[in-house]
Amino acid sequence: MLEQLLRLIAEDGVSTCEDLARRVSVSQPLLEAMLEELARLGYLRAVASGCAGHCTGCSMGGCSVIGQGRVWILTDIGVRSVPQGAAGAGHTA
Amino acid sequence: MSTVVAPSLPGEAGLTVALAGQPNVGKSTLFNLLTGLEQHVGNWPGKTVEQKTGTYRSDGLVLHLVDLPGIYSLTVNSPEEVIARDYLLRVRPDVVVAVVNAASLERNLYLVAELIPLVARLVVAMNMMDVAADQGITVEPRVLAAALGVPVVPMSAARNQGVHELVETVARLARGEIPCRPSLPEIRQDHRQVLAQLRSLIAGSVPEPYPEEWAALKLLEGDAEITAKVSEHLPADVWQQVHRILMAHEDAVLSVAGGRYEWIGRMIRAAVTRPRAGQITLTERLDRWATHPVGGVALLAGILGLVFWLTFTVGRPLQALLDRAVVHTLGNWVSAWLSAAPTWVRGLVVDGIIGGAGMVLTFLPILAIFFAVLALLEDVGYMARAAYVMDRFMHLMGLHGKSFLPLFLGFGCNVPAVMGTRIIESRRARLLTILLAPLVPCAARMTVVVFFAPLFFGRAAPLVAWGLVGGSMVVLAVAGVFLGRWVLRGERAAFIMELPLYHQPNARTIGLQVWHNSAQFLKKAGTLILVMSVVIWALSTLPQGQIETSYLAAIGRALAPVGALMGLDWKMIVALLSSLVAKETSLVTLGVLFGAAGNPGGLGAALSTSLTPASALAFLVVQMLFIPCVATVAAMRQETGSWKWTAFGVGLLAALSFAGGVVAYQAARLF
Repeated sequence: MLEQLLRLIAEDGVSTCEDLARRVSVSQPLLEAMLEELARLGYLRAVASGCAGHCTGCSMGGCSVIGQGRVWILTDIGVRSVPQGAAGAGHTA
Repeated sequence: MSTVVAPSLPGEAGLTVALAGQPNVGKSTLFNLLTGLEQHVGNWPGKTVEQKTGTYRSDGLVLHLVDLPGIYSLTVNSPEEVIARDYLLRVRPDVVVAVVNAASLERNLYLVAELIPLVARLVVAMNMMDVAADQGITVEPRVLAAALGVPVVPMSAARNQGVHELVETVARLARGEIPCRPSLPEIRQDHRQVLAQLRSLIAGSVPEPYPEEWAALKLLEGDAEITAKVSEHLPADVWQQVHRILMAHEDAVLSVAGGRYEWIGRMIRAAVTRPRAGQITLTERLDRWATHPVGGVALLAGILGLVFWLTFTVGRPLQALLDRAVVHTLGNWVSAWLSAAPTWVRGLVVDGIIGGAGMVLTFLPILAIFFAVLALLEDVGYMARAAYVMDRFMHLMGLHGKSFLPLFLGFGCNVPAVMGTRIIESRRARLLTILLAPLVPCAARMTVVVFFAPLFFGRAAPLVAWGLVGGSMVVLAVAGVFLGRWVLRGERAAFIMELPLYHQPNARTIGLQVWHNSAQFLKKAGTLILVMSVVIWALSTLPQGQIETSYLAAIGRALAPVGALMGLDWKMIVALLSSLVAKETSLVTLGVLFGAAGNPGGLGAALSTSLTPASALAFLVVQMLFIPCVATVAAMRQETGSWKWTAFGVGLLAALSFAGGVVAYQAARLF
């Protein structure tokens, strides 16, 4: 199931938790738990939203335009774990 | 490395019961309820982690309870997990109670999935049933028990509900009165064969207290402790075989963990019903539009247009009023007051400070509208959707996905956009994003657009502003595709966004953000812009006291042939050059050069008589694409670590802006 999730993430480029939960047929809380697991295993990394810490010297003040909510990115290990161009053609969990 | 960490228990006969669970699931509350004053608090041997043991006595039943540290799994990632796993393996308690939060079973069942294959007698204490009910979550304990194959006791420890039933279940389970047929998580077929192969290889060589089946699974998961123990006990040639298998199946960890999540998914589908009303439904309904690949981009473009319309209809008249009523009136008043002072003092204060820094201050209403709209959109939860749809749009154009996040920050200011590229691991992708970031129109550039557009384009001003932003995005995309061919060949990137629920905006939050950002702008106007006003005034006055013969005029005239291709005279070229300090500075320069403080109609009136719409359009196009301010250039140097790439970026932007200005001017003259 995590392999399927990784493939979908790599295939979509950019996804929302809601989309992914629907496509893997799990609830959104379970999807979030799976993302956290993938992060623990080193396949994903949570990045801070907004520009926290970089506002010093910013001429226009705050710029946290992304709002709340985390953003997860595929790490190098995550990218390597999904064969290039093989999205959707991988194993069955 | 783990150690034996069995807690000392009283010599009295009874059942040993371990309480396991994640932090904050009410495990300690349950432990305190069961043991009362009969508890002992110390440390686990050799650790600084607190150890709590205690005794429960009732109707001849004696339970020796051990409160294990809060853990998320049995993978030895933390001292707490080492202690809990070692205790369960070495002491083998009679019964293990897995305390879970009924309102968050998706996260809590992972530990249960790990405990089930390891523990002989397991009871799931489903705590916080009251919290789940408050959140509208329905959990069926009987269904869950049937699916898990182990007893499940619903309870609310904080309300002392279900505790007696838990004790009774523990006693009955220990007496063998409750049948247990645990449902075990499964792994992928091919990995199942690998697991069997590993098990046969390590058979008879796994040290105590590790069960062989479990040890084989942990080997497959890459568990460092088990790998070390097994490699110590296996003959070298057998270990080589095991090692080869493990190397060939490094991805098995995903299969094992994935099997657990599939198992959790089955349990949740069987026993849990979550609410789908109110806020969630509203969010889903709105997101059908807001995150639609085409509709979402159209909505974003519409919102952007609305922001411009609002700025022009509300902000621009206020700015003009301030310009006339404050800058001009103040300029006249101060000029009269300083009539006896030397000419240069009057020039410095009236033309330099009031005409420059004072004029920039009149833009506060426009910026306040920008800040308020940005804060409102962020507070209701829309901004994350805007980022999401724009990223999809940029993907279509072949741009790097991860790049969008920092690029989006550029709408506030280009400096954090450049700094924000740190989230991109690939150096080549970072470099591309850094080079593109200054093409995102920052709020300061938008201030210049908002000032110019209504002066020259009347009712079409919102459309022109909208087109300038859209045009910048197109240039960014084209430049991205072009550079990507050379810089980013064949790279893939992906990310997932958690979109927050939409909710009602909070006036205080928005007010605070507007206040904070406005205060930052005022601070800047009182420092950097004030200094720049004085410098520009000095350069426009020295050496003979006349603008036409000033140093600034000399610089501008040297570049006049370049400006002529774009329909810009030397004053406009100097204004563009001064924007290298900060983008708003171009307005300061124009304020000084056109004598805004002395003109009854303010800078707007002076400009509209000196420039044609074609020249104004060219000026705006150049302003949008021009070399960024020094702060951004410094950030580019810092983040690329290379003067060469910084110079390339600056050169690229200078060329793009010049080409854009010439094309815009020549095309506009045709109409």
